[in-house]
Amino acid sequence: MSLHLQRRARAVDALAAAGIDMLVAGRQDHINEVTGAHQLWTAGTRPFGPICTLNTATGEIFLLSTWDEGVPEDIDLDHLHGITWNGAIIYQRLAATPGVATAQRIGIDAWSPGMAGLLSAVAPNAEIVPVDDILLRARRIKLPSEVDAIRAACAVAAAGAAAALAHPGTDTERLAAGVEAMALAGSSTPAAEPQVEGPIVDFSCIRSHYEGGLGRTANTAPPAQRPHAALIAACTPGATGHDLRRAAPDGDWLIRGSGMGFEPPVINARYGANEVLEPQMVLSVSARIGGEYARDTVLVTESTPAILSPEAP
Amino acid sequence: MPIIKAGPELELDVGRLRGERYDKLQGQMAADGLDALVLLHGPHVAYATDCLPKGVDVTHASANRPVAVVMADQPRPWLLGGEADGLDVEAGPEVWPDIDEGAAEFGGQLDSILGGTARGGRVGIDLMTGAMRRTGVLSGAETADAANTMGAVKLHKTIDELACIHQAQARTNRAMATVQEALVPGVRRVELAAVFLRRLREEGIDANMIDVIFQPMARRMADGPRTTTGHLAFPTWSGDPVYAEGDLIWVDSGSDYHGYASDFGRTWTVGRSPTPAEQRCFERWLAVMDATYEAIAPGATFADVCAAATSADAPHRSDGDRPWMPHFYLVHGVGIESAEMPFLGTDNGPDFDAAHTLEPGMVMVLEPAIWEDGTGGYRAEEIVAVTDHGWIPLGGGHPYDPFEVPT
Repeated sequence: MSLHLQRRARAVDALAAAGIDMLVAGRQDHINEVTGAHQLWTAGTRPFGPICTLNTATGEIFLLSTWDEGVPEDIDLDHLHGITWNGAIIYQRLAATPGVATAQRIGIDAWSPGMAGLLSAVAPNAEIVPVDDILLRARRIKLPSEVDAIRAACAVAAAGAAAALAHPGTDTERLAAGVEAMALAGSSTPAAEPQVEGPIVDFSCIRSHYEGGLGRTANTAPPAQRPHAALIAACTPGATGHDLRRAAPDGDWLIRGSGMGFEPPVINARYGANEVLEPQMVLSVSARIGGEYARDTVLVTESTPAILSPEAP
Repeated sequence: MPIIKAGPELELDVGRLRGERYDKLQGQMAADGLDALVLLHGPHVAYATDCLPKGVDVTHASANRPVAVVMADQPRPWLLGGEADGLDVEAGPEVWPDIDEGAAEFGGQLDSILGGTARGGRVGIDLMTGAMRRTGVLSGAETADAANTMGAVKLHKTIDELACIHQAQARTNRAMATVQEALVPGVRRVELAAVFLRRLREEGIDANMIDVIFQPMARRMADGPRTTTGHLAFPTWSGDPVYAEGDLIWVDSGSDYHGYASDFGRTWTVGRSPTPAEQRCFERWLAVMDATYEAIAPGATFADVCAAATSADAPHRSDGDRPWMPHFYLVHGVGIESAEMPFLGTDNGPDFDAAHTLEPGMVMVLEPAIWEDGTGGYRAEEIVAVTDHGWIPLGGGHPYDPFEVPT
């Protein structure tokens, strides 16, 4: 089964288990997750709007896209809605979507007063429930091909980091060189903001829906002596946020999920004490002690954690 | 013919930009009957506080996003999280409203800022995360959609907002000039994107907001992607095509300068000059632009402008179509968003266009498109600001090479 259909099945199972009849999604990573569509990447936050619907009983999807370019074949042209600027058309489409009017529970990935009004008009009897947590929890345990996609994205980010480390010049010039190299390696879409600060670099990208990233310090210590080494070693199945705090260095550090972008869990000195790591979770693990910084993308396995980002960028 | 040669002298005064926007925002809050505004959408946060959005993936932009809170009776906005250094704000701690633990904390912070407004006051909000809904943030207040308030304040730009758009466009133009030199047969899309992203950084632009588009256009629509409109597919997912001699490339991009977007649109050919048929499409496009420029003035209805553009191309058409893509518009606005009001010629329909008029301070991206099936077509974009008496160009102009403007 293709990756996007496996992801969709995973999301449908999780939503159906929570009694959700219909998903109305607006955030691009959730849309990518369930549709598999490749849509134009845009940066930044978005207002909430109904870009994609998924009926959890039938699996039927409707997607906002004027064309079938980048849309998987399992979503037919007659299940695409063209771009619209007209609120009445958005209303009519939602009202006409099979299953919306009769839904008992509609899941949304964000909320606004305007969209809440729209949803209660098209589905007056439905309970409107946020399901971003359900979608993101289902995404925590990565499929084998997701791990491959993340590893490939890490290699692209590493090309950016390598160029920025090697390039002479000001930080701005080295950052420009890194961004250029990352694009040449295959991604013109950053995940987080690239960082070049003297000897410290951090690069990340989104490539084919998945994030890869790493951070390094020039002339760095061997892996076992880097600021995040003990944190990485502690990323084993069953480890809790409390355990990870105990392993944390005396400095800034963050562990968070990484997959179709930034994902939970978020574990740091403030949040995530009760999170529990499981095999096949992928985490971004970073730490900084004084002038030394390092970040890697790490796969939790049954035994020793596997580092997905290249050692030498 | 008003081919744009040079933009106006527009100098950004950051203090004035912040002050005028904040005054407008509080004025609109009074008009909308709001005691407070809580803003989570990046461009809205920037409008209220000048904490600028970053050119990062939506998941990262959301994760520990800055939040703005504007109180009707306070002289400065609150900025929770973000980089407050140098801004005229009340700075609050970093917030994580997208995770449940963070949202619960955020709710407490909001309650202490809002005071009595949190219990029974009227609060405009643009977005709530799922975590905020789960943890009952603002459950004691009456909420209104802040999109209406923000839509009203951003519609008419201040002089400093014009300066930002002008700078964004001028810098993007310069970056694109380098990219066009790199467009030779055999080059891949990512190679052009690489040049563009490097040049943007060199131009002092660090927030690229759209994955830059260099789309090779099929000469016949039937050979391109299928569409819901039966018309053109543009701009599609970028992919990584390799360009061949003779390809016709439609270019589109959008990058922020001080939180304001540019919008670059051009048509390029690869490795050769345009054919006479392609050049004819360009000249039809120029004629549509001339008629559109001619029609732009305060008081003109959106319908007047659309009619002028349509009449200019009518001699070349038997299909009754209008000289822009049916899924888009003849004109869209630009500002803190890459596309915002005013929209002219959309599927909002003729009544909408007849009911709305151009007003001073509106910024308009003109993007007619000419298509001749079998030949291909021409599309480009230009930005103008409506003034008290007419309009001024923004961005300083950019050549139409390799197409030739008739003398």
